[in-house]
Amino acid sequence: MKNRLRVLRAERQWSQADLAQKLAVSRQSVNAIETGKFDPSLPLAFRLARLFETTIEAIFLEES
Amino acid sequence: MSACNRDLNRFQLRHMRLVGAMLACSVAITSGVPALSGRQELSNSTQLILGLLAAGPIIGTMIVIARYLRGETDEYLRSLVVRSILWGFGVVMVSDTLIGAIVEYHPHHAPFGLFNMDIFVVTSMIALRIQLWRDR
Repeated sequence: MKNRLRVLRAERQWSQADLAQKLAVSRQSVNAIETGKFDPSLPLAFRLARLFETTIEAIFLEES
Repeated sequence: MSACNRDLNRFQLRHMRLVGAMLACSVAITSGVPALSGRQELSNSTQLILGLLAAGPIIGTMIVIARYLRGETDEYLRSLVVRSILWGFGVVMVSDTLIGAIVEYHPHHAPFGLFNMDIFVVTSMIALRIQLWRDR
């Protein structure tokens, strides 16, 4: 699954460590999600959407 | 996990230390049991007690890992730990089968099976370290 996490993070000038701290996860988790190696659970996706003040669909894009 | 990541929180550190303690117990027992059993003829009940003693750290490790997985809030780390454990089990099964076959053809009394715990923990740690290194 593709996602716009890196773009959204860059817009706010947050490092991976900053985002990880805000989400209370490890920096490796943020990196794995950004690179598409790991798809987050629904609760974590909602936390991301809340943090970026957007919807889950605006962050995660289904690959067709 | 400590051998794999310096940024450990207290919860992870505690469980890491517990796994280390279980491994130390296992090493102590695997060193002691063959020495004990090799010296004299043991009764069936003593053999059973020694067997249970050797299994103790393995049961303890399973409990520690289960508690860690239940309490770990980082779902990605949780998935890495589960994958690493599967690697650990896989390598133990392969080594057991290999050694079992060798012992079948060349029977002797080397207690290779006693090192299952050591192989499991070391393999799991290496697998976890490699996965974290790939996601650095």
